[in-house]
Amino acid sequence: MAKLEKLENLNPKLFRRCDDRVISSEEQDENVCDEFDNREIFDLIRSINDPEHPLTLEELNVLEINNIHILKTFLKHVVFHVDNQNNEINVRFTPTIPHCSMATLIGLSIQVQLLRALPTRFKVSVQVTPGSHASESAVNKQLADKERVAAALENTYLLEVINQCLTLKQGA
Amino acid sequence: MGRLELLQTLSGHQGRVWNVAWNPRGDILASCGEDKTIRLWTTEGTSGQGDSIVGNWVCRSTLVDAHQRTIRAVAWSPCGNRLASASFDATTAVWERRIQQSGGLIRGKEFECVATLEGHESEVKSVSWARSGRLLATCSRDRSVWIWEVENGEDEELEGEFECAAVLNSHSQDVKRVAWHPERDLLASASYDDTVRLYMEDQAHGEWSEIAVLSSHTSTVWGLSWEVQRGEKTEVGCRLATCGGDGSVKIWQEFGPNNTEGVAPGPNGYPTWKCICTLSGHHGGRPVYDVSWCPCTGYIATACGDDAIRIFGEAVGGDSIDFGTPSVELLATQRSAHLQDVNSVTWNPTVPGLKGALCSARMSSGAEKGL
Repeated sequence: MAKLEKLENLNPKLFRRCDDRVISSEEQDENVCDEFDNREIFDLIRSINDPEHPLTLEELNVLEINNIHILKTFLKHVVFHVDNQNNEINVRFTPTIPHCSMATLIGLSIQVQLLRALPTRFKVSVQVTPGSHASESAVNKQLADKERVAAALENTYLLEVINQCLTLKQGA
Repeated sequence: MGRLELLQTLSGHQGRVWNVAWNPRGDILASCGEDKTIRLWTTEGTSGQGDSIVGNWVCRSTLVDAHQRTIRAVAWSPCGNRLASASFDATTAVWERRIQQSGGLIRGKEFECVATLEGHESEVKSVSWARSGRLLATCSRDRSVWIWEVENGEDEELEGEFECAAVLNSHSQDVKRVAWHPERDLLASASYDDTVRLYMEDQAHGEWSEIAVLSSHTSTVWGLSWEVQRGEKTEVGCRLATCGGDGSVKIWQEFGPNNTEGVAPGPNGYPTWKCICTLSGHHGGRPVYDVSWCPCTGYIATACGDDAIRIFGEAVGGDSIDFGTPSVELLATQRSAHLQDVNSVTWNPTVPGLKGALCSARMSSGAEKGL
């Protein structure tokens, strides 16, 4: 997907990247149970590259920190015996334009990044922001279908494109 | 509430386990998954009789090299001598138990890949053998369901003798699952298009066609399981359980042309199918990936995306006379049955009482359960 004939969105509006996260002394203390917070999930996906532009998702405002919900994560030591329903991460992203044909690919990239980086106990759900895409329900249904996602990730070409999206750019 | 007890965890697969299947005698469990292998599990020193489910289960053999990508599903032929595997590599492989010889010595019977069925354009998602052993059905992301005829009988060894008898293009999206009726040549398919479709062969013309569409699920239908009718219920139409991405399980009943309930027959005199029961609100809104109707006890087990296994049963002494809405209740919930999504659940076909086998996502485990 590196060389597209025509860009769908020629002149995207850019947003300032937010500052780096300040690491607290508590987080460096091995004896303190450190739960995942919004900001950490945000950091995991902020530098995913847009398949169409040499810019990160954050600069394109495709996702905002407030749209990331970690319903509950303070279960590191008791997860499997308490209530699995709380091990959820719901990400909603907004494609740059309502007809973005890359929406599924962006969603897949976010999903892959989170699945690779997070403990497997999390149920990761990636969806487009309600009302932000012309084929919202179709895109969401595809992203929620783990069998399709698994099959897609066995497709070497597609995996290469996703890995390109997930490769850190200089300065990102 | 009943309780499920973990008997054993079977480890060996690398990555996600997608499907498990008991052989007809219930003494071999086949499993398959992301690692492109099929594993066959038996109890140590098994006689293959009766209570063989109790004992230490070990991986007896690993079938490799037939598929290039994930093996999504496995299915045993009714005689138990053949196994079919469906893969994301767009092929279906047929394995047969063959006598192995080396240096003139018979080393025992092992499964060998004897045929590869090609034709689907993309991932094959499911495979099922008909009761007779003469028909095989496959389905794929290419939206089609294929019916294959086995050219020779169950007793003979086969060498790629599969003929495509029909390609059914009724679904508008991926077909996730196919399952033959346990007695008849009646096929059900479940799809990403939220419907279940039934097919039969027109005896006059020898052509396969769709005879019913079952629409009621509001998301992908992931699983299908036919009821094996027992004893006194044989005079009524058969029933089918389905489960899906909408977190519900539905029970469908066939109403024949002369049913006593006054249900109008379907087109061309085919039976009408109606959803007679919806089990919702039990699965926490998570997808239900598999459903299994126990041939011995009539219990229904579900495999859910919330890592749990649930058991449902029909209330005894319910309205069993008019066969209206059955009263089905949740009997047991095994939370955290696996560390991730439960992808497959299947009851042992022979051992009386409640025994099943289940498998989960990614964690390399299948497990045996008793209640």
